Order: sequence, then structure tokens, then C-alpha cells
Amino acid sequence: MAGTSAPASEEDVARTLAAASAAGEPVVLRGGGTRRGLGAPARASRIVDLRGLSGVIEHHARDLTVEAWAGTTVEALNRELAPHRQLLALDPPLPERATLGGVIAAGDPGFRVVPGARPRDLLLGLTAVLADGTRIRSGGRVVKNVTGYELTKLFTGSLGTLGAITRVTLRLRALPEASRTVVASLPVSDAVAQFADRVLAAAAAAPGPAAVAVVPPGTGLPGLPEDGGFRLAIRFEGLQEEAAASPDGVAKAAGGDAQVLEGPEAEEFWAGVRDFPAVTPEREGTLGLAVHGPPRALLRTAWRLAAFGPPFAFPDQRRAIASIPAEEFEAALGALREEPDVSAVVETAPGDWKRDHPVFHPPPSAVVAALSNRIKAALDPAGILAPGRMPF
Amino acid sequence: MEALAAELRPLLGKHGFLLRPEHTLPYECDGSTAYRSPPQAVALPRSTAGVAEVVRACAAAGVPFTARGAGTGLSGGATPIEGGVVISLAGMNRVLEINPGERTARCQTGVVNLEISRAAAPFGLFFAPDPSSQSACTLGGNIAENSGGPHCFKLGATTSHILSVTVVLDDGEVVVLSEDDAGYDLLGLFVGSEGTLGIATEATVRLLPVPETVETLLAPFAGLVPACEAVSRIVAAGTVPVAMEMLDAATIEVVEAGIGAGYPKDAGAVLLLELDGAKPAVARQRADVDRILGECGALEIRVAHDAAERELLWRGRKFAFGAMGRISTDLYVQDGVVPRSALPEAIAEVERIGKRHDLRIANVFHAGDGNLHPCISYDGRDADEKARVMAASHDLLSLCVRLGGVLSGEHGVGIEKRDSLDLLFGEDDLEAMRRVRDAWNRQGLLNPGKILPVRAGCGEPQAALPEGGLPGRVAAIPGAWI
Repeated sequence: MAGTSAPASEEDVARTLAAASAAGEPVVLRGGGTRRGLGAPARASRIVDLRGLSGVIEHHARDLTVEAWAGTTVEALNRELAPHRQLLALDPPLPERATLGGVIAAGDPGFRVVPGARPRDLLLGLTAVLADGTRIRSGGRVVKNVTGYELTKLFTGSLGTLGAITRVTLRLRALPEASRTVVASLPVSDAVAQFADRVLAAAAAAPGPAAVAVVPPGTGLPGLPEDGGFRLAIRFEGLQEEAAASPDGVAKAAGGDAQVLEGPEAEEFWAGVRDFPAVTPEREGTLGLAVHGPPRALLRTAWRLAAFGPPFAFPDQRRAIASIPAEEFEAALGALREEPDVSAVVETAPGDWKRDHPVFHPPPSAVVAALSNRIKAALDPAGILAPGRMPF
Repeated sequence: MEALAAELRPLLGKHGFLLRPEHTLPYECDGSTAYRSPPQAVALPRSTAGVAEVVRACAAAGVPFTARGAGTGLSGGATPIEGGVVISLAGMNRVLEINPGERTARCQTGVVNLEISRAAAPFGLFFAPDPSSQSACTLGGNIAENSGGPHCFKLGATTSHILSVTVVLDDGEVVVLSEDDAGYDLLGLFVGSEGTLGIATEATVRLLPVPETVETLLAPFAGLVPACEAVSRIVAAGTVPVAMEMLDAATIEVVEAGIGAGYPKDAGAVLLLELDGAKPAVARQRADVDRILGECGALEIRVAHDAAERELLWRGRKFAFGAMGRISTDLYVQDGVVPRSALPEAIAEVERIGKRHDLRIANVFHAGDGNLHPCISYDGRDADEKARVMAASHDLLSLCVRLGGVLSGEHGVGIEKRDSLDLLFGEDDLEAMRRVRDAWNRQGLLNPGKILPVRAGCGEPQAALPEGGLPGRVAAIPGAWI
């Protein structure tokens, strides 16, 4: 029964999955498809497209929370919230296509600083349909909640392997009154260790940033004169006075000059940073890498990866992303191994590349793999949801 | 148990494994003292390897075990099961490393919460979670309960501040769960699991920079309703105070009689509000807050001009629970949450519930989070009054759920609320949670009888419920936020 199912209701989802479980037929869940390359290749011939479950269920404007069907796109939700001067501060790649359920399942943190703006911070509650068709709820619609196990956290980043997310309750914030981005040049002459120290010092000079990104040379993003060096971009937003931070402190610590981006130019800049991971697979023959680790080691790794392709680093998120030509992968792995505390995941790859290459570097420990497999077996005993995707 | 002692004493030392009742008795309960159940033994390991050895020995002997930090919890999370072993982390209380450049601290989990901020202070950093009794409670307890505190309104609860934990699993195996791990968010599942999925022995936590400036305001109102309206409007305006705490007239009266924090005695409610950040930003927040407070009918706005005045304003809030000890022998504090906009309705209904059961209920709560703490003063020796407290407790939890809230905001489910979980969740929801728990807690020996309703007749071990299911008496610790 290969092909695509497009359930129109939660009951439909339940029926579809229950039938698949009973038949032992593996399925892949999909939203907007913007991050469908994540994980290892799943062994399934059938796609369950969840975009039919779309729209706002209830917007609790006074509480700054919203419950929506998981197939709603991030952009559509924010369009509905705009007249209320509210915002879902999630910045997944391609928000016009990315669905809420998909963003949660991918765990995409976007570019805003942590804590506070990752899917795991903003997801207050969810409804999911398990593989056998059972519908479950977890969490609630209040921010502070320690009632029961945090299954919401488990579903965040689960890549559709634990259940189909059908509804989500998310925390919103007031639309910022102002936003401003300081972009500081980092000296081209910095060696690797100096580069990492300088970025951390410059980022620490910025009080209460909304986003901190290290941007590689050669991106063609607006507002960046090309001199072959990295840039440190720091976004401030909120009340006028919160966004009005002076660029001087950051520029001084960064050891270069700084400029300020505002308005459409700034938005275009951040949209470029945001969309980078999803645009990568469209480049022929490149791998999209996500690197995780402590800030210093992470920045040193980003510096080294720049020899192979452009890396963006988000030091406070302990995350970097890079686009590497597939044929240079072994050499790039050598750069990764110089930092024992850093790990990498191949997020996207051309064609069948992932069938022949491991996705996690290094692979998770045997204990983590066992703990993960037991959770998978507890919620999807028939193993029909994207089998193989979590490469444990 | 003698066999366990013979096995573990060579590893833990003579005083590292307690068996005599006079030594184990202090471990029979946590801060919710109505739930008591003395352990058979108390192990005091000094290292991750030591904890692993104890767990391995317990698992081999089929003996249930419960981890314990300072025992300040308010839901019975650290209360052992009858005949079980308590594993106390009190001896593992060191801050191991501060990394100021990366803003992290690596600590043993028996470290007292406030000690982390003390160690970080020379670097201009602090550890954000500031739960009840942060001068006594431990990091491990904070991780187990996903503790909150006034600052979590702006900064998030414990789960937002843990980067990695070293965990001893049900069979004594040791694993590190990290935010940097690819795959499932096992760290997110673990934080808040109340010691039922493993025992955290070490953690790396996120530190935040101490803000440039802090302003503390006190605004009295004629009643709770306009004060709650002000809270909603401040948040909707995009201002994010670091804390918004509310006290009602009954609490003000008790606080003034006991402490004399200088709260206006004729006010129907006081809102205690703190702003922090860079100076220009705080000045602007202050202007917005002043305007909204005025529009909502604040009777005055009192500002702390220095640290001593700030301390005095907070003193009333911090010591509110202790002060209640003056008016009754027993105190029961609930922890339900309602959406912020439902606060006025919730408060009105709390009052009706008090009248209906002929009980005195005072309200002191984290207003920004909608996290209620109805405080019921009663006399534990009066059986009829106890029964009325029970009935009111159930009504209060039902109220929170009816208004779109949850049973617990920061104290955890523990023993206290486990049998009320079905007010919020259906059987399928609970079954999914149970399957996840059992996937990591395979023999059911890790802190049994917590969080989930205990199914009768399934051979599931029972943690002691107090006679008649009496709700907990709070051991009010001076300085407790709760």
C-alpha cells in the first residue's frame, strides 16, 4: 500500500496509524517537508501527510498562549497573531512551509538565544496519536507545569518516530516594539583559539541579546561587505530601550568595526541565517552538518570547518551548522575529531549518501542507544513509525 | 538488609550505611510531613561510583530505593517506601568547576542551590532557579522536581538551566545525558521525573550574568481582582518583570502581625514586582509598569531605594509561610496553576471553597505564572477539620483543571497528588507515561509510588499514604519562597 495518505482529522490519523500498526506497515509522518532529510533513512514506503490538520483551535490572547492544529504553518500562525500584536518566536527554516508539528518533531531551534526560544521551551502541551491509534495528551496550557512526565520534551526532536503530533499548545510573546542588529567584523588574522575567545568576549559584551550568530564569509547576506572574515551578529529586540544597545562595546571586544542593521535589511539578513539549513540540500553534492558542543570547542570547530564550506555558529545554543562538499566529508571529520567534546550529525545529504554513511559522529553510547530504544518500543511497539530514522 | 550492609559498608564506611532506627528516622519524610514511612536503611555515598554500587546492590536484592537531597520537597517525592533504602546525596555537595567564559558550573547534585550562585558571584554570574528554601534545597532535588521560584517567570524553571546530568540508572549503570546529544531529548524527560528514572549525581548547569540593575516595587490594591488585572496587562504590554508576587489581605494581616514588613494593613492585596536589566531598559519598564499600576487602581507605588529596603519588601513574602505558623498548628499549601487571565475567577472561587468547608484560606502566589499557593491553616488534632481540608483540597485541584490549569506548578506530584492525576489526564495519557517510566525503571525499584496513580492489585509497591490521606503539613522553613 505504497503512496501518501492525507488524513483530514485526528480520527483519520488514528485510523490510518492503527491500520498500519495492525498490518505491520511502516509509515513516515510528514508536515511541510522542509526538514525531511533529518535522521537516517527510514524504511517505509508510505507517507502520512499531516498538513490537513490545520488552523488555530484557540488563541488565549490574554495568556499569550495558542492551541493550534499541528499542520498549521509557522507563517500562517504568525499572520493570525499579528493583529493581536503577538508572535510565536520560533524561527525554523522556510516558515511559509514549515508546520508547527514538523518544527517540534525536528526540534529546530532557529536562531534565537537560549534559554527561552527553543521548541522545547515554547511547547507547553501537545496531543499526539501513537502508532496504535491511541490519542494521548501531555503537558497543558500554562507555562509552569510539573504535573506528570514531560512527554512533550520526548516528542520534541523525535523526528516522527514516537507518534503523530496533531495539536500543539505554544507560548507566545508580545510583538517586539523594536529590533536592531549589530554586526561586528572579526579580524581575518585570528588563529583558531583567539577566534573562539574573541567571539565569546564580544558576545558577553552584549546585554540581553535576542540572538547571537557567527556568520561565515561568502554568504552574500545583505549588509555584509566582503572581506573574507567572519562576522558576529547580535540581535536586540523588545522595548525601544531594550533594542537600543550601542554597538560600541561589541565592536571593541570583537576587535573590528561594527555596523547596525535595522528594518527590512535586518529581517532579510536573519531570514538568510534562518533558511540556511534548509537551502543546503538544494546545493548539489553538499552535506548539511549540525555540530553540538561547549561554546569554545564549537567555535574552534566552526573555524576549522570554514576550510571546507560556510559554517554558522550559535554559541549560546551550543550549535553550529555547516555545508560541506560530500567528497570532503572525511577531511571535515578530521577537523571535528580535534575537539573531543564536539559531536556532529549529518542533517541533509544528496541522494543515497546516507544509506552508505553513518549519520552520527560519534555514534551515541550503547547506554543512550538502549535507553532510546526502550522509549521507542514503549510508545511504538510495532515499530512502524519511520523505522531506522533514529540510528540507534 | 544486614546482607546489604555487609556488602556496602566496606565501600561506604561504617557511617555510610545507617540501619539503626534512631539514625534512619529523620529520613522518614520530606517537607510534607504528613507522609511518613521510615526506611530500612540509609546509604550515604560520596561519589557517582558509590551511588552506582548502592543501586546495583539494591537492584540485585530487589530492594526499592529513593534518592534524597535536603528533603525540603513538598509533595513526598523524597519520602521512602516502607522497607526501602534512602540514598542520601548530602555528602556530594561540591561545586566542582566554574567556567566563566562559557557560563557554566559543574556540580555534584547534593550541592545546596544557593551555593552555586555564591561560587559564581565573583564572575558576575548566578544560577537562575530560586525555589523554595534555596538556602537549603539541593540541585539534585531541583532537577528531580523541575523546581521553579519567583525568577522562573522570566528565566524559566530548572529544566531550562541544566546542560547535562550524570545519572545512575536502575541497574547501577552510569550515563551522561546532555543537551548536546543527538536523538531524543532524554535530558528533558529526566528533569522533573522525581527520581523515578534514575539518580542524578553530577550536573553541568547554565549560569546567567547578574543584571546591571534591579528595581523592586510594592503596589497595594483595594483587592485581588484589580491587582490580577494589572499583572495581565503588564505582560500583554511586552514588559517582562523578573518576578510578580501577590499576597492577599489575610496573608498581609498574618505577615504584619508576625514580621512587620511594612505592608499597608488596610490593603486588599499587595503586588510585589521586580524589574531587572540594563539601566535604560529598566527605566522604560518602570514607566510602563507605573502607568499600568495607576490605571488599574494601585493605591500607591512604593519603591525600594536600597538593598535594605528591598530586603524588607521581600521579607514579608519570604516569611509569609513561617508567619502562618503563628495562627494555627498545621498548614497545608497547594501548588495548582491557572492561566493568568483566570486568576480573578480562581481567587473568587478559592474564597467560596473556603467558606463552603468552613476553613481559613490565605492566598500568596506567583501571579505572573498563575501559580496559586492557597494556604489552609488548620488544627491537625481535629479530625473533622482534617476531613474538611481534604475535601477543600480536592475542590481546589478540580478548580485549577476546570479553569484550564494543572495540578502542580513547581512542587511536583510525588505522593501528594498522584491519585488526583486523573483530574487532568485520561487513562491513555497515564498509560503512555507509565510505559515510558517502566522503560527506564524496569524492576519498579526506583522511587516507587510516585507521580502516577498506583494501580491496586498489580503488585506495584505502595508508598505510604497517611492515615485518611491527610494532606501535608508544611515544615515552614524561614526564608522559604514556596
